Amino acid sequence: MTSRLDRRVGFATVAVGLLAVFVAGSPSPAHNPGPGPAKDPLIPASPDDVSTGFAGCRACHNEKYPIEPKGNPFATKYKSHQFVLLGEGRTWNEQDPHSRAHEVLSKPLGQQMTRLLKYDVTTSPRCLTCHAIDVTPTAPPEKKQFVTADGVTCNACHGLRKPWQQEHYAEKNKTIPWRTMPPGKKEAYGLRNLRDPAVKAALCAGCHVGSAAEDKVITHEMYAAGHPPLPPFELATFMECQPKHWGYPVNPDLKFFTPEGLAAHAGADFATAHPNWTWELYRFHPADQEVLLARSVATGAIASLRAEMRMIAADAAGVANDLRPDGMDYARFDCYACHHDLKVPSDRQARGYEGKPGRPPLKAWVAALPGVVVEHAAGLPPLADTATEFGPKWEAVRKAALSRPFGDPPELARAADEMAVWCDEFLKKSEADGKPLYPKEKARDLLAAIGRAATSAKWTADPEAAMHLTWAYVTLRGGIGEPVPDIKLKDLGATIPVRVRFEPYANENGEPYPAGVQIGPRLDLLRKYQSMDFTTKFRALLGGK
Amino acid sequence: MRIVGCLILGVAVAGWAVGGPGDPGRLTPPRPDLSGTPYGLGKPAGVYAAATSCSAAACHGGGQVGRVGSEHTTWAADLSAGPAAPHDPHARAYRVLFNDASRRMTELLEPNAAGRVPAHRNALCLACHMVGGEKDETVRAEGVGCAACHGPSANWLTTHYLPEWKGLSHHEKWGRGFVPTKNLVARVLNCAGCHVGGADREVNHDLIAAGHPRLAFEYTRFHYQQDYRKHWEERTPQPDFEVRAWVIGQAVSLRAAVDLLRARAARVAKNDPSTPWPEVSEGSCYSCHQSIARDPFPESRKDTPRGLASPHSRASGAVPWQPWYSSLGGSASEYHGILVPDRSGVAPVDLTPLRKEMEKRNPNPAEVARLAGRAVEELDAWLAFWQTAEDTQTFVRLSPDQSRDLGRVIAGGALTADGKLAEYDWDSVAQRYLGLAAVYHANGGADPVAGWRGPLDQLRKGLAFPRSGADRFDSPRDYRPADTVAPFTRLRTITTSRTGR
Repeated sequence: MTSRLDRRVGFATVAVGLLAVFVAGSPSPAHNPGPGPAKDPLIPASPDDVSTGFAGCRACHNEKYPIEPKGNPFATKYKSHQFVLLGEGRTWNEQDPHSRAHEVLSKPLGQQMTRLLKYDVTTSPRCLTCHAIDVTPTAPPEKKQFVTADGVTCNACHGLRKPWQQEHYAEKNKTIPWRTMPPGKKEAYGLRNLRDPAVKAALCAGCHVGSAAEDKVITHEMYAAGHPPLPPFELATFMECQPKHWGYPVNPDLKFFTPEGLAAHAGADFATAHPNWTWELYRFHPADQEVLLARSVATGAIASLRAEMRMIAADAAGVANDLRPDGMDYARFDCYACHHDLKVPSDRQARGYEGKPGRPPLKAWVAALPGVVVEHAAGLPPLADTATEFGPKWEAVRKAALSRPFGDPPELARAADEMAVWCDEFLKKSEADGKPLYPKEKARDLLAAIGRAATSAKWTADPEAAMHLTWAYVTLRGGIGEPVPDIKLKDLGATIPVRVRFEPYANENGEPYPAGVQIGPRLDLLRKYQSMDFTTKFRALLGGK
Repeated sequence: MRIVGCLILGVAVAGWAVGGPGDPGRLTPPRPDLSGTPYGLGKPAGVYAAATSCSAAACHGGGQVGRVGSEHTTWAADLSAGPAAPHDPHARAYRVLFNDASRRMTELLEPNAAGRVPAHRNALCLACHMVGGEKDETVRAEGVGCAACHGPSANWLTTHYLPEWKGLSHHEKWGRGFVPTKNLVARVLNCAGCHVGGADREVNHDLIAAGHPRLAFEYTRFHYQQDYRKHWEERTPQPDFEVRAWVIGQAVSLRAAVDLLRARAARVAKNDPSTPWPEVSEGSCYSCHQSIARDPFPESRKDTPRGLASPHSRASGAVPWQPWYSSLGGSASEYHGILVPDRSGVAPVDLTPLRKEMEKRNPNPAEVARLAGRAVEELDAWLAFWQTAEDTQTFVRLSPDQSRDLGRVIAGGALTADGKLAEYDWDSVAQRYLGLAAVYHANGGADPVAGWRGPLDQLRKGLAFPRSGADRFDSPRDYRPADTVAPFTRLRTITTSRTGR
């Protein structure tokens, strides 16, 4: 590994731009609108303002576990190991495929795609917006510049600007003031507040669902050339299945986030002056007030819906305005609506169709989990009103998508845009009052509702919707502290993939297994998917509760 | 010239000259008149009558299945038999509209019970499942009866057994509402009206998704279908019949498919809201209806379609247009070139512009209608030419060399010069298989060139749809295009050697 790390040195100061994400409230499906929102603190002013990071980060964040405080000055002096893990870089580099995001493009699959697509996937902006770091986020594709050396690095997600990188470990009066700085102020320094589920979900969805405004668009052409199908994005499950270089603040090992830990750092009065400090500063509620992963599931579902709606709106608007004479991209529709073996008798004909038979619908998973979250939110006062608007808005999208093969572009653009605006509203309201929404009993209700959806004929017919709901269910049960027993999970796992990825995440050489390693078996399972078998096995989980 | 084991091809006789380039002993046909239109297009004019007018014991209802004079008996199903006794499936065409499958299709197409029209009263279904029975319940109940294929008999019923009838040309008979099925072009045009579709009849993707079987018409395959109890015998027996039927079938089916596309596109161009566009069934079925579960990683699988790097010219992820009808039908002129050595001045039908437009995700309907209309005209000229050749009953004697060349064009066309599969789409490969099988059967079920049968069987095996218990797959789940390279290469090799061509 040494040589690999060595060659990273020197990249720390490479100027890079910022992934312009989470511009909340921006419904525009149009291409990146020039300079971006005025003074967005996450967008670097100039290349001098940015750094990609890993070589710099590893100076402090590359420790081996378990941390031995005696040998670590930050742990000794500032108890940093109680605030963060300190081995983040090592985990990312040795286990996390994000570190190989660009490298994979030159592997055989990448070579095949280059051959079939007739452009170089290692240099094309179409690929690099997700597989590298876009240092010119406001530039049009042909003028973009990228840093490709380390794939998707630390600061690609945490914030590319230098100020926060210099500030976050600054000492004052033997403490580090950064730790109790309000998120808004940290953001002004250029740190993306990934502790905020809505911010995090929007960032991840930018690549894992897509974002036309940032030129992060997966196309059917890419899929046909071999790009593995993007799995449905479920924030909490992706968090759980990513080699974690972070600790949840509700985890008692991170003592900083306990009243005692905070008092030791900031003084006994701090908590009195900031009674809601967990939310205010770190965007979480203590475990006895809220199930952290329940909020992640709900937020992730709505943020994914929003990302997909924006992708569809952008595509449809382009078609409607004759900017894209080639029509809607097939990749915006449900892959499995077309890609299935035909059988006699046919499950699909027995089940019936959402609209006219033979018209490809939108991806089923995109609306399945949001539907459950919204149904549940009807019982949550801050969200109840907004929740009632979901049904009609989704119905309009659905109708526009099915009124003719591959949708009615003008109508689809309008309806998808309205749906995305609704998502903004829902996410805003779910964080507005800083109060817990998902205490344990509410999280259990949400879990039960996901279980009902996962076994309802409406969703079990679609393998991706069934898988997405399964992921949310399994993850949330773990989050509630009542994990699905291994034996039942294994049983269910014979009918549908129950996780995004499985451990081990790395081989014996400390190289992360590429994301693709598990995709072949997963796709094979989806091909053999039988809704009856799945439903039976899933019911066994429900019975066990 | 020896004619043993030869294939006989129908070509025009008028103006035939003895002697062609390179073979002074062979007859050569005239160049086709490229402005021609074949007779037999569309439904014949006239008033339809029930088959009772045909089924008198002394006429076609002799009661002895399979015998001349018992055509109606052979066609008819024994309604008292259950399960259905052998018969002509056309006799069941109307009755299937009452079965569970039809009911389910109707429900899926119109979920609202109040607005639902049962299949047996739905004009879309009736357009093919019965012929001529709009006003006559008896005619309707017969499904696809005598008149459906032979034409409405009002203008010929009382004359078609008189000597004067025999003096009429096929063209004149057609003018009286009679379909001259002895002419293969007229016959297949009539079949294709339903089995492919056309301006007034069609099966679109909505209907297929609701449960209607895919239409994949290939004349020789249908003609020799085992459960098709035929009520006639060919006047021109093997060896010539099957190859003629195959070539004509390809061209006619393509003509029907392109005309259907033209009609669809023209309706959409006029903003007809009831015509779906893009029409999904214009694309290759199994290009979409294949699992994406195939491991996309080339290091582990080098033989998937993706790993093959097929040199087709489509953009990655584009859907091939109509490979079933256009893969070989579009090359009709090439077969003609083999069968008729002097092909100078004969322009092949170029489907490239139409194909290019149709392989866009959102083809321009007006442009498609225009291009398809032009292709139909060109195809009609070809068909008129073949039709005349059929009528004149003068055939080119096909030499063993030509039989071999036909095999070389069909098998060799599957491959690129450097031995790759030129087009991996199942439809395209299956059509080549059927063409090679037609040449084989035309040769009396024997190898036209030594070693023909082995690779043919190999292709057939690779193309088969699997079964899974009681379920039947209706798509080529296990089809591996790479496996077809070896048999095609073998066939190309055996048909290339010794000819010196």
